[in-house]
Amino acid sequence: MCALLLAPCTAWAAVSGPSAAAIVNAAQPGQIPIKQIDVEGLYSIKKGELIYMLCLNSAKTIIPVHLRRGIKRAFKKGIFEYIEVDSDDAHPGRIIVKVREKDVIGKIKFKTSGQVPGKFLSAHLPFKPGGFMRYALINGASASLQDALSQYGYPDASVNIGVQREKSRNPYLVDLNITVNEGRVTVIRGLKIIGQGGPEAARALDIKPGDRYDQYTVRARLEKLRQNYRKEGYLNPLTGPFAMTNGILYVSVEPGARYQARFTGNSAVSTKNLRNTLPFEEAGEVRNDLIDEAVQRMKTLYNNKGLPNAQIAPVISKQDGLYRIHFFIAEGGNVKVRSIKFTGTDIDASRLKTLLSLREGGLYNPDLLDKDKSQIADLLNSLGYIDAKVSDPEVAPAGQGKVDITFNISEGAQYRIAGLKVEGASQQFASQVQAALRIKAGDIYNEYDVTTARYRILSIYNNAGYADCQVGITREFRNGGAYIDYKITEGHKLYFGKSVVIGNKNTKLWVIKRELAHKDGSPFSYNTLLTEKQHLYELGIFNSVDTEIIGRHGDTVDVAYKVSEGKPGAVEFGAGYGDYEKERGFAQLSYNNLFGRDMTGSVRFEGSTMERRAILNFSEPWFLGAKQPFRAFLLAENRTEKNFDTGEVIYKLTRYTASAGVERKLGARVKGQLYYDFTWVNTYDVAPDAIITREDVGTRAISGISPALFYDSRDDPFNPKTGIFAGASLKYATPFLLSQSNFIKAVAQSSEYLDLSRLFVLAVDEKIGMAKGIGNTSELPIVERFFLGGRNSVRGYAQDTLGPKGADGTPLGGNAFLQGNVELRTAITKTIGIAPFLDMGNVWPNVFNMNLTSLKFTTGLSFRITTPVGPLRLDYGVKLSRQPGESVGELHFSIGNAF
Amino acid sequence: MKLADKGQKRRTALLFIVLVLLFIPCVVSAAVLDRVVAFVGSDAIMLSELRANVARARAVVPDITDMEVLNTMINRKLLAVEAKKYFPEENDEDALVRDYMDLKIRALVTIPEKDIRDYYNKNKTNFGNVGFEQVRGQIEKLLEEKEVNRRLRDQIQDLRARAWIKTFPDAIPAGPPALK
Repeated sequence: MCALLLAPCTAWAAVSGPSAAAIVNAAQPGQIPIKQIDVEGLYSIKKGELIYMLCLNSAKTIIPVHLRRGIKRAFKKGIFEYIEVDSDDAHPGRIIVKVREKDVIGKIKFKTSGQVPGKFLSAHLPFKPGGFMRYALINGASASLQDALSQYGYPDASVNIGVQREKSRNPYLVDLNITVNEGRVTVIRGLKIIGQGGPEAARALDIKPGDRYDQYTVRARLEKLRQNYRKEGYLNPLTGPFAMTNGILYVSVEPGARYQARFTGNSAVSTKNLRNTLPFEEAGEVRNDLIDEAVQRMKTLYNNKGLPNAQIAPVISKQDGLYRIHFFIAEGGNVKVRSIKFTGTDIDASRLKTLLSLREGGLYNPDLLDKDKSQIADLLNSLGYIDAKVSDPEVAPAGQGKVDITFNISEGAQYRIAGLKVEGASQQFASQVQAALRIKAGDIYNEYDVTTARYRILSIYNNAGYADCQVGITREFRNGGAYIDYKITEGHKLYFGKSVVIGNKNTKLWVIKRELAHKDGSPFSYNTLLTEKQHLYELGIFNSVDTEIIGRHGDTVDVAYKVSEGKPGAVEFGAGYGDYEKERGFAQLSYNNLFGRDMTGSVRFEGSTMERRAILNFSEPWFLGAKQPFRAFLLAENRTEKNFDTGEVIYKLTRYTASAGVERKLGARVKGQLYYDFTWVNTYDVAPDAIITREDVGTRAISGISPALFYDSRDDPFNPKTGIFAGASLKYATPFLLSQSNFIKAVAQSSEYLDLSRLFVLAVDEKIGMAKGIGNTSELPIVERFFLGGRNSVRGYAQDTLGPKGADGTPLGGNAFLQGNVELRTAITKTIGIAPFLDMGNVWPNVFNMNLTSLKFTTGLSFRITTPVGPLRLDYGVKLSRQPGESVGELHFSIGNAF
Repeated sequence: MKLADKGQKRRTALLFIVLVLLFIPCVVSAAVLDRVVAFVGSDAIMLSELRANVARARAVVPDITDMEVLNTMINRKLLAVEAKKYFPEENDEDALVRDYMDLKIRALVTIPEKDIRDYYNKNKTNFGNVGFEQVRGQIEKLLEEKEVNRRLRDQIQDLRARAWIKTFPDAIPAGPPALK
């Protein structure tokens, strides 16, 4: 009987809660074993997540204080309105968790007579679809919307907000039905400007008799009018207030005082830049001190231009509320720095000069003297000259518009570390702390080293869970020696408690949790939190990620991960022009958080005068329980390969490819991948002289596996300045994998980037490829052979034209190639650059024909404009080993670096 | 027709009695271990916390009601949440409230000399023969406390207006605390 009664009982209790009698009869919680946990009223998250947050997943008995913390922790999730945990006395060990979630707004429906746009109504409501329903705000929302409507021209409008629970799977989904009765509309019969604004103001307001009295519009136009007055030099224009009486809109407009500024004698600094220094508009008035300030600002501009002798004389007059300020400027001549000298120090003058903003031979700017003085003092301090003094530099005219600058230095004693003490480090950390110091007695005292040692010590403790550890430094300087004492207060070791994820409306909890670098109970560290935050950002599905400590109980720390999901879908399209394909374009539809599982899917269409291609992509960042992306794609392609020089068709193909593989990080910079692909290819209309094997024509299935290994230490994959990218890949097609062609093909490459200076980057690239047919496959099919020449290989040659040729000059491709490139990437401006280059390479029928003497060399110049996805390039390559009948060179237009 | 109505009424009454009988044993068999009695934003106030606070408060003010204590707890929570913005490292609620009051309320209160003197003059009879200088400090302290309280009240009102607060009076049972 009791079991039968249980179901209606719990349903009732979820609504009303147990009676007072039940609470009085409460069991001793500490003695209640947990055998079964039932959850009622939960919709938005899984039962497991709630039980975890309540800390009931691993508990064997209910401990009141733990239960209280658990409920409070779960509440932090932000979706609950009510949580109650009961014990079922009839079934010892049965725990009932009753929750009520906050209602969520589904749709907001407006019922109006159509006079007021829905957008206006939505903008004046505190409720938004998808947001939580706050019932307490309904009355206030009604009143404020009514007020907004009144200002919009409907003073008698009435608003009624009704809430209707949606009939859906989500019991907490509600719709808002907002009924608006606009009532009569207030119409403007006439406009009267009060004050000096006159017809100009009336024109700006653009109000006609019969217009609705929309106070929002009136206010916006008055503000625009005020801005216009400011632009015209009015100092403090007053536009408004306004009021409506008997249908007439009265608007007060007082432009007020105005100023005009003139500049005479300026040539090194533009009038526009001088005008920008004037503070009158900001201050709303013209005052003597503001004029002085303007003059000082102008002098700074002239100092920056190396014109420290510029004289600025303002002449002010006032008439009928108009200030006329005339700045007469005598710019003087340029002053340059002839020499910079230092006295009172043995430090190499050239070393000191590198610190300074002022340069010998450069323009003299007196505003930089103080900064340079501080730079010298900082260097001396860092070298142990704690008492060093740098007096105000002496600037002496040296004739012919030049000055000599002398910095007089009093070094004082050079301090060395005479005593170094560490206190408070327990035995467990003592050796690590000593190693982290990296300073010792006898070293020259350097504040930077002393401070960074402190950070290293803190880092040791923080990584070990001592997040509260404090390290203080006391420094004492006496008798030419520095005595440093690190005082460590280790604090308590802390551990990660529970992790609560907030804001993941669509993303599954496990997608977030698998990115966390800690387990419950592992040592707590802020560095770990930082790493986790970075991991979550890297998923690319969140607009923001924040971590917050939401509870600290003894030595455990509960952490909340607050995420804000971004829009997962994107539509991209683009068009371009390539020297080989001519016009080309693409359209792509992608979704980066499929089913809330951080999977990415995309469909992309590409087209040009030579090919049409459709690609379906899928990727899953975790595969087989490890962070190793799995990728798969389907490709359908129709392509025509043409001889670039003659425009004749070499071959046409239709290809369908299915490919799938997995990638894995093998180190911080090393990545391995293994792919399988199956291609069905139909090659037709092949130029007769391009056919060297029967596999070059007709339909073939090519199926193979491709392992690859890459090393990448580049600083930026799109526009690298330093680092190395190296890799090797292999493709093995075999009948065992249902391939009709049987071959092995290997490619290895290495690209190195060296940052020579701020302006120059040396980029070097080497590439080698070899392939061999196996068994019945004597030659690789044309679609698998190597081709060289063109915008990304040997730029003096047209696309794919290097190597063996047929009887009619059609490129045949080959089974071996070698390629090398050198570029000196030179920045002219931030976005424009040039790169002189030297390319070499060739293709041979097979590896035994490879001959370095037959390498083809080209040189040329690349002009480039930087974009976020790499440079936009225009390259011209000239053949250095030109054969009779060949062109002098080739022009290429493309995007991205050649390597 | 009337007979049918009577039968209908009898059936309804019987159903009601059966339902009541069915529910009584169940209701008694469920015991609340803990529950939310109010929330302030994403912070819950638990029945067990309320009980503990009521017990402490009644030791000082015997007739204080549960709702009065709950409102005090809500006010403290509001202040603590606001204080956390200024003292992110601090985790103790009492310390947060104290630090916040010092920084944002007490530090801004200054009592003009005129107000101290006016207070003395208005209440001169209460001070008897005690001179102004002798009680000046006490008056200043009293006026300071009054001003602090006024500002605190305004601050709480402002915080309450902005926060999402909900109380569940039905979730607070009469009688002694359930949790041991």
